[in-house]
Amino acid sequence: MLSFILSVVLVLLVASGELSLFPLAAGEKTLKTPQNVSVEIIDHNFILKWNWDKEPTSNVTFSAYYQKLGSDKMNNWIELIGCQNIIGTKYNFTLTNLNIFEKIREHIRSEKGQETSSWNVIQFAPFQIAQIGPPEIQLEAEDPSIKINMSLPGTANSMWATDISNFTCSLIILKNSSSVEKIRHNVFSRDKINNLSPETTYCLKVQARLPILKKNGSYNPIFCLNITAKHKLPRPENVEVDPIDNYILKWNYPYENMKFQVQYLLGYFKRISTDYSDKWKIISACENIISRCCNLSKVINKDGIYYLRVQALNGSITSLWSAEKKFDTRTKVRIGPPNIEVKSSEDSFFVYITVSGESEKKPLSQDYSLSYEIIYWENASNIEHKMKGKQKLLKVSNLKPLVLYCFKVRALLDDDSNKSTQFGNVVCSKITPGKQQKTWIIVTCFLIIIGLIFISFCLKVLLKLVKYVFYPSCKPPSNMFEELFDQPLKSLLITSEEQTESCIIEKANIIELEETNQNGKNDDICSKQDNHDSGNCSNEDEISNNKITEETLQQLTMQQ
Amino acid sequence: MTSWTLLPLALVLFCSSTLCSLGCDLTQDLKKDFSLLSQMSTFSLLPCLKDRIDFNFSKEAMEGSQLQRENATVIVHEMLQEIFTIFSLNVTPAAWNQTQLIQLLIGLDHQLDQLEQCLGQEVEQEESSLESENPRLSLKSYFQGINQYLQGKEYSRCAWEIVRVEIQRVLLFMNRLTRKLQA
Repeated sequence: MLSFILSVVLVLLVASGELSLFPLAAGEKTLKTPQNVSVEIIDHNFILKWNWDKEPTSNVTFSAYYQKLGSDKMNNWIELIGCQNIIGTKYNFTLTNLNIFEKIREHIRSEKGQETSSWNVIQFAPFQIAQIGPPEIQLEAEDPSIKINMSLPGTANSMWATDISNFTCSLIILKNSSSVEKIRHNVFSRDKINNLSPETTYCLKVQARLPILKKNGSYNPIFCLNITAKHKLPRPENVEVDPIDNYILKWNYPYENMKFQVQYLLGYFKRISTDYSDKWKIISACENIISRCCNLSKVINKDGIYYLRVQALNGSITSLWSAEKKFDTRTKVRIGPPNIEVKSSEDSFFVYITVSGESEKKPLSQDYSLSYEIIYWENASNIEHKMKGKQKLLKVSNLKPLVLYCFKVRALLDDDSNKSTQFGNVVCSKITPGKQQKTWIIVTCFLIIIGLIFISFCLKVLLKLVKYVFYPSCKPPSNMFEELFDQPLKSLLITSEEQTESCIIEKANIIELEETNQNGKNDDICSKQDNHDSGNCSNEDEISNNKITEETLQQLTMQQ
Repeated sequence: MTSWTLLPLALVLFCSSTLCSLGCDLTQDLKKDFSLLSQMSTFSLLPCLKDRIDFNFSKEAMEGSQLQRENATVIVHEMLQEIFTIFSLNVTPAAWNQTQLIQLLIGLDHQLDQLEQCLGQEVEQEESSLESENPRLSLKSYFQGINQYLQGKEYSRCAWEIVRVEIQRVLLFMNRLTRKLQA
């Protein structure tokens, strides 16, 4: 019995593979697992790396699979390396149809015949571990500057498609292949390097960076370039925007008798990676001008970022474009000369300053720190006094009463530039002690009285209204009832609207027709109620009336 | 729809620290962007209802991360950048109001520049923690889905309208988030 049980257990164990009577049977994991498995990604190229102790007689192959970890995808293990003989411990591959922002899992094991090792698994999101490869650059010599056009490898489905606009360059510039001269950072993918000496050879190494992801790429091989002779006309220098008084662009130029033209570019074109060289627009007010300033206010009408450049012209010869000046409307607010208002009180002046800046939704002081300089003087003399401060509401005391003082103010930038606006309007006023208070009292009393009268009037009207609404007197006119009750027997039959007199008195019927004589002349004649006379109508109309009466009598009988 | 209702809570938890110092307050600008987006197109949405899909905004990625001020700025920057990329494609419908579209692009570029200055002022960290990367990755994945949807529908008028409305919702959430952080 016991042996039977034992044998059953043994069979079961062998079948399950836990206990093998034959060492090195199929499925046993005696092989070493690949160690230090890692994936290196450069742009869109994946490299799978691992360590393996080399055995000279090995006939070991490796197999690897990867699995997408997206929530809605079927989590199948997809083959990466099949039964291939791989020399070394690296494997290059690219994955298509992959969401690089989602994590994937890879596992690898070694195989030798029927033996396999256990899996070594790693998990990562491709985008997170990807590194930036060397960029492709095109250089163009533009005496005495170099134009850089950096493009990154890959098509629209590359690793960096969503961050193309975030790339910057870092350059190492070597002059004449000698020691390092310049290291420039934050160069845009399309940029110019200026201030180079002509007739020299420059060599460059470029590194692409994504500062926002804290990734630095590798440098490309050195590229050398010859700068030829200097261009005939130099480019305009020191291109600056003056914030005071207006958006005015100013520049310097060494030669006289030159004409200039100014162009602007909407800033967002630089963020799109396509070529924007055809997106520059001419400022028509500053085309072919002699002065070295240009009013930008008509062109810069929306908040945003603009780029500006200036070119000098001499007949048909043009200079190179100046360095592009970046202009952010938010940091450069137009500051006009401030306005001043002065109110005099009994013993002092209240001065109120307003600055007309472009963006009135925010107080200017939030972007700009301004201080104000108030100058005031007695109108008679010309002695000027100055007051400086940051306040917009000031009280100026200790001045002589009944003397006319005049005030004006200008704004100053708090930075080191010492720039200031022009003086604003001049306001003159004088201190008048005492009287002012009296007049105020009189005026307020007057107003109160008027107010009271108005209120009482309103109350009266209100009361009337209330009375009318809640306690109405609804008597109909007295005439109405009298007429209705006093004449019950008078019939109201009126044959026609024409003025016919008919006084017909019948013996049988007491039907009387009252005439509707407008004149009212024959009223007396016709109103005979209980008269049995034969109708004593007026003698004047006797003849005609007789005829009429007969006719009407007939008509009436007919009608009845 | 449930992911959207839980998103503001998740984002508030995620970005409980103040969003940016002065100069990085974009609440007014986001409102302008939103109104431009709604005015740009006068098409009716009714014939496009059949094209609606769920773009799968992942809130789990937002909830689990450590909260730092830099992360919040980075997320807003990433969102604005992706929105800019979508609308700067040369395949937006010609019937949209082009003036307003350009105004939107100018505004977005301006806001991105401001945020980049904000981020530049932060202390440079040598290693970005893994925690801060997850929300960015999920955002990129989400917008990649939107781009693939547009490509799949061959930039049809209806597809653009659906995307426009979706972007408006994103802006709404961002606006609510930045307002909560300023308060």
